[in-house]
Amino acid sequence: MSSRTTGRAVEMPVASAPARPPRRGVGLDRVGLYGLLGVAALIALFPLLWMLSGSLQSLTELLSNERFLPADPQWGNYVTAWVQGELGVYLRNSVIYTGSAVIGILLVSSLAGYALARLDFAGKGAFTFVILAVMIIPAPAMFLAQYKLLISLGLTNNPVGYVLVLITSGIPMSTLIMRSFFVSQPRALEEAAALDGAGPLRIFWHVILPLARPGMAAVAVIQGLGAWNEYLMALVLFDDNSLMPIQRGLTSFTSAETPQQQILLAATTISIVPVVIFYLMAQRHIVKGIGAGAIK
Amino acid sequence: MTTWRLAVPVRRRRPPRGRRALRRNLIGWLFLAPAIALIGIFTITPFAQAILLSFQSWDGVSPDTPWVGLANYDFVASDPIFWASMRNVVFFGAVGFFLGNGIALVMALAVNSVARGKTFFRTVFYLPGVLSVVVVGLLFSFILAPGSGILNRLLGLVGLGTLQQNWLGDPAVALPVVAAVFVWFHWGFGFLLFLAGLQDVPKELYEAADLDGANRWSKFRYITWPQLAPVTSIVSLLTLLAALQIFGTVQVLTNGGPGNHTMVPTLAIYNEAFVNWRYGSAAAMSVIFGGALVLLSVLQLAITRRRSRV
Amino acid sequence: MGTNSTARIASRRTIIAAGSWAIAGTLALAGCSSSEKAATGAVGLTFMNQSRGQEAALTQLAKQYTTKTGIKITIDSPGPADYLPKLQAKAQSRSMPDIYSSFAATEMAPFYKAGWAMDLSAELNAGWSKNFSPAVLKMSTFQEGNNLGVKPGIYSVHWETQTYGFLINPALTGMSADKPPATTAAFTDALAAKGAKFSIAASQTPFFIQALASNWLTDAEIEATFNGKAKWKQDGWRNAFQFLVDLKKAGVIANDALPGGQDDNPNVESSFFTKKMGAIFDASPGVSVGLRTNPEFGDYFSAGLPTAPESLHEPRSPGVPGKGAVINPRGDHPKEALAFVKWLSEPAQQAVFAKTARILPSNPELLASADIPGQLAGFAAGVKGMQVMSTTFAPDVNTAIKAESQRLVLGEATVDDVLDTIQAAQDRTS
Repeated sequence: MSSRTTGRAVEMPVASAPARPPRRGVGLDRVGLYGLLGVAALIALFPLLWMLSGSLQSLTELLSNERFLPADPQWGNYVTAWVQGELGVYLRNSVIYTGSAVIGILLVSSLAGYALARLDFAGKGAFTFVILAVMIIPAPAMFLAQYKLLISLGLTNNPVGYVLVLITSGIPMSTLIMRSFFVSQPRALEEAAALDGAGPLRIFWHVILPLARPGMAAVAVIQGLGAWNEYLMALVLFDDNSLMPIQRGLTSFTSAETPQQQILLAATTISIVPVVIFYLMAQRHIVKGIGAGAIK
Repeated sequence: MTTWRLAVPVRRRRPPRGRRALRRNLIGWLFLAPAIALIGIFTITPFAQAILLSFQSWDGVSPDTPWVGLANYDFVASDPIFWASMRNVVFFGAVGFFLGNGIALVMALAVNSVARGKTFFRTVFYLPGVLSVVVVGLLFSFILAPGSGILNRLLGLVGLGTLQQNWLGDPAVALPVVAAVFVWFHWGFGFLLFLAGLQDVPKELYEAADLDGANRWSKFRYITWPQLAPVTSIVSLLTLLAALQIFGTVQVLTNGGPGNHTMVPTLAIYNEAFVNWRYGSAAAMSVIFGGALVLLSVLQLAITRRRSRV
Repeated sequence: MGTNSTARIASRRTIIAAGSWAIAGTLALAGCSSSEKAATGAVGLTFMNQSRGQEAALTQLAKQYTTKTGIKITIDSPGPADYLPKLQAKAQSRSMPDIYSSFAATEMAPFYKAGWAMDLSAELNAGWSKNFSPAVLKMSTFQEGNNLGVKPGIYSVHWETQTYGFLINPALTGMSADKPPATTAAFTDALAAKGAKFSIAASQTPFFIQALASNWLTDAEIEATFNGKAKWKQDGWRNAFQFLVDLKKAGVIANDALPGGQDDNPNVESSFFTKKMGAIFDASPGVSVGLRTNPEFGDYFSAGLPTAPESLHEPRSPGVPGKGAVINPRGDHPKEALAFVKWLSEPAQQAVFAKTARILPSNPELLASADIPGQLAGFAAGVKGMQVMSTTFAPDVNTAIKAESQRLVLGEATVDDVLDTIQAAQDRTS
């Protein structure tokens, strides 16, 4: 609600300035543009439509791979997925983990990203290098060491430990993304605030953060996905099934001995609904950026 | 417009010395403190252990990890699979960098410039990324199946039967096909960042260019492209790194086969640790591979930094 | 600016509210987990189970045992792909389950070496061994100087015997269970005559090669190769790989390639059970996969490998100890765990596994008397003559055979190239 007001208040002046290309050869151009977008959309969507269709087929029908549409939609697949996969419990856990992780990542990485983009201090280059190096480490070799560390910290079978790991794994990339967004933002507002005598933290919180909304929204949807799809660390960390995230529900349908691919597809479809809803909420902010408008 | 320009000279102000410098450094590190604490504890510590592990011998379970000096590096140096994987990953890196970034940028520009259906396209392009890699593997093994796969059937239907392939089984096409699936799966995130970056390009610049009668290409070349430079450099770095660290897509689609034609370093490292139970040489592979990546990204950043300065 | 900033503050409040809500949720979950730890009074055992195929049978038997003895048993099934990482993590945190599924010897060796497995030889010698066929016992024995470096002993017991062979669809191939192909040439010709196809997943090629090679090599000779004491470059192995080339030349290998990828064998199995493939090479548990994939399709049979031209011996299926259990000697209740596993391996309980999970029992009398479904008959017959040895492929050799078989079928390598690469992999291990 509140954010909508912000968006509109700022959009108004911008709306009068056409961001669109000049109207030369508009008809043909537009056909070409929509043609390109349409083809891309088809390629992006096709496997997903196929997944929807597969989630409504019987196992034999699915495995014989002969039909695109189910002959007799098996809506029961979704019930089986929900009940057998205990998706209710896992969904709640995943929403909590992902929510906490995304908020943590946004706070930590926008602070760090801002410092790298705007503040002058010794050791900035070194920190950037460390962040890069950390991002580059191939994960498999580090995985068990990380787990052993959590054991010695007493953070196994504990959601706090898990969320901290999720946050940490998102920080390097998000910091670099946030930095690039802060760099490309006008300095005028900060400088005005500095002249008014505001300290760096105040400037950050009241001036910078609101301007960085497109970047933060992008970081949130990208890191949200990462956290939502994480499974290996949760698998080894949690002993109680009641603490497991949504991916656990999906893996109960992946087994060569007891093939249930149609249920796996149904469970996957259920599991991506929250992600898509979150995206639909966040994407407005990615696009209705207020950075450009605010300097007017 | 004018205020935006003002930003540049301000940056040149010489930093003062003494107590104010100390205060400035303190503030800077204060902003970084949470990130440093978390990364230090949860990433650097285990990473340091992983580096130490590359000089030890460990089966992943045993309590003993005897020191073996450079034996692991010696072992890896003579491992044909690992070196084959290093060659393959160059291909994935190139495809991810040029194709992945190219598609992401073009689509972001396209979506940004259409009036209707923005939300629809934005959502659709983001969707492939929401799947877990296991499901991507399942979907594409059906779609790309050599006999009755939908892709081959579609090709037959439109009279392109000669193009039908054993997509994942033929070494000539397996590598590009896996790379294509990877791009399908991952380009959404570059797209989002470009799209977000485009929002920060001041609209006034385009207005001014319109008044000057600039055409679309010159507006892209002289406004969008330079304005997007910070985002471009970070997106291309991230896409490159993601492509070089490709793992799940390969594992579920081909597991490195046929032969070792699609083997990649991360999968080789994973197999060395979790299949062959040689964590020491897996760690040595990580150090070699990670070292190569660090060099590459320093190089890449240096190049883009020069570009954005120009 | 005024309206903007209030709006901004408001939206920040939403963020803070959402944040504290999520963090509170995390803490609440943390609370849950610690409070559950408290209740321990009666003896409880945890069984970490790898196989989803036997999950139902195991759960049912565990309940039965609890009613009988009052010992509570928790069956934890993280799923086949996640079983080993989870077990490994458990070893690191020194919280290993009381009982856990045994798996391929190569994968389990680190756990045996680290002392997470009870040596069961004494118990077996004291009469327990009557529940198992001598072959299964021999296959699970680690001998002095084994190639995995495990201290001599028996660390696992098994209620399943696994064999390998062909699954054949009579309707597509014209072959029948009454008159299975007598020679490899007859098998190839029958497929070619009907235009039917044969498929084998890359991950199954080591067993295929091992089965074929037994036409020319004795078990001792095969074992010597596994142990690095004999060369891969010898006629037995050469002939075995040559059969892949012959199949390719006859045009009967589906799509002229061996499927790979993580799910290669499940994909091959589903192509067979949806009646698209004339014949596949598979292990005995494939039959229970078939029942779950397409319950209406029952008209197929299993058969051991036919004799190859100029063979020196009857070809024999590789024998593999199937589903079974390992006992953790450092658990809280090793005695009770041992008692439960002993009970599980009794004929009555093995019969439940055999019936519910469709597996070949390891108890010889049971195997002889149980009514084996028709489709399993060929695999069951394979138990008699199966290769019995206590060693298997080293992991690098296993990996090399999979990749090199694919290359061989694609025509990228000759049989001698393949053997050279495999030998190199063997040399790297030892």
